[in-house]
Amino acid sequence: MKLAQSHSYYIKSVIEIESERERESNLMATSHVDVPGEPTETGTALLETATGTIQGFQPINNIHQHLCAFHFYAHDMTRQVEAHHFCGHLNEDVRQCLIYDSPNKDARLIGIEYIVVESLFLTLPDDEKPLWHSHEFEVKGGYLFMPGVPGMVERQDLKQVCKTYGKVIHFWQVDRGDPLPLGIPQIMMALTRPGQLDENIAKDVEKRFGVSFEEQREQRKDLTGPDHGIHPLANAAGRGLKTELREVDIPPATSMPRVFV
Amino acid sequence: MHGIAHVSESTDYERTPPLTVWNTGKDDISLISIQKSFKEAPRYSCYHKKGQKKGYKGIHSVPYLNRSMASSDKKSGPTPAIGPGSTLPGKPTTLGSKLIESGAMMLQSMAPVRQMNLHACTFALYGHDLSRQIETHHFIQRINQDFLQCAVFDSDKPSARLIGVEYIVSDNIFETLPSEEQKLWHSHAYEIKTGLWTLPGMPELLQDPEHKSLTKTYGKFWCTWQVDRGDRLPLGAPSLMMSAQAVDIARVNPELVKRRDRKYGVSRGDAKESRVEMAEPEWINPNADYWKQHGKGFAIDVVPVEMKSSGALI
Repeated sequence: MKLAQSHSYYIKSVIEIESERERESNLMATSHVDVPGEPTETGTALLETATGTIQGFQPINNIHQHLCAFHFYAHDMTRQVEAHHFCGHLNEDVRQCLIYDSPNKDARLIGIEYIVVESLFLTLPDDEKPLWHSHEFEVKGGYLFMPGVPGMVERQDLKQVCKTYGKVIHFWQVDRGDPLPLGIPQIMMALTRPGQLDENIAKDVEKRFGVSFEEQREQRKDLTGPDHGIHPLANAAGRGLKTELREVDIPPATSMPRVFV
Repeated sequence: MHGIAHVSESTDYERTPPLTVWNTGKDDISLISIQKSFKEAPRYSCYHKKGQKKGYKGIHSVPYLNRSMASSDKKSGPTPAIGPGSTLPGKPTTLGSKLIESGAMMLQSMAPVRQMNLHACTFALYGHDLSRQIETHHFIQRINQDFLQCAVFDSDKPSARLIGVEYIVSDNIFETLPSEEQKLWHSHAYEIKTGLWTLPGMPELLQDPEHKSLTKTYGKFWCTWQVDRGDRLPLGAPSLMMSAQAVDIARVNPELVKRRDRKYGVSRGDAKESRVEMAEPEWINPNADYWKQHGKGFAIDVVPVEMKSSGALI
């Protein structure tokens, strides 16, 4: 049975975990700008160690998977970011991910991604669909991968991911060297065509994680995308998207409480 | 499965999204009807008939990229993405997926998410509509003495939905930010001192040192899933959130607080009393909590633009 086979892979790989982890801890992305501020005081650190053990972290414990992929700004394809997704299933059809700029302890939380299956994507309003992107190209192209997981196991999941749509929002523009999360949120898009991904970024990631996108491409030939093809409104309908800040009047204090239908 | 949309006659919408009605059968998707909501919107159709090669059929022109839902839209689009109650659409997680996940857990390091070691429960207000208030659960990682990053969920159960991200900075860092940036931030003194903010599971006394340092901080909170609006999936642009303040329109609904207090066996009144001695910041930057001085909140729009590319990449 396929699952049993996968399990034997798990066991084999468990033996290699230590060396894997050690290698991963040296995986620094390109020039890491330090976040401004004083080092954590001992008292604070101690307290937070206590809270870390006493309090409950169930939503975080639901995060079971690390995916690495590339995003670019929905208004600027030339700005590309290596995005480390830490994902959990809300159910079989919906996942939610925290996006960091590296897989290390000092990683900065830079964004969020939601992933839904095709059938749910189709229920979205038409003016929502452009904010979502398809995953078919980046999965089949080998650019989206699960660091540390053997190809065969990885492909079990990527088979599903290939058919999904994602919505990514970034809050911290680390690619332009921002030391803090400045500005407004950015809608991000994913690779949809060959030639989009910057060669240097690709080579750098391949080297650090010991993967080869081309090899993956070969092995993922039998994966298929969304059953109905990529929706024309997805991926910003082939155009660009930009977020803008707008001032709004604050409703007066005497307004009645809202009722949401 | 039907993606049915109903026409809304309400003039509540500032701008009505274009309407399409889909019938998503097992083998085909057909567009049942389409209604133009804007005079300028060109018609488009995306369908294929049963038996034909799957995919979206030709369209009359480039798909019309309409204005996407702003963070301040009062109601999200009329589709199953919004429904009675706010239950999550979709099937329960399968055993296969769980196995893959547990396998991944054993092989991958998950280092970044393991750094979160503080859980706070508080309330946030929508920056464009302070009467909309939500209970939030922040899972916090301290980067250094002056900066924290938080993953924000709508509950602390395994089924919690990820609804946004908040960043917290000390007053020292805040003062270095340009004023245009400062307007997006809110102060924390009021919500901490009045017991709205609490660390579930921690005795009040142990919470003290953390609160002392957080009272003087400022936060920037983007909400990506407006669950209180009934959205069953994350819709629209992210929303800027604000914090409760000692002003009528920004006080948290007491019912919300009571419900939270009951859940965690805490008392906001007691917390408030025990924190009364806590030093307040001598001064809160007037650019923070921008609405207080200026009567204006902020919303985010998403607008279509030409994609910047290097030419060769189209």
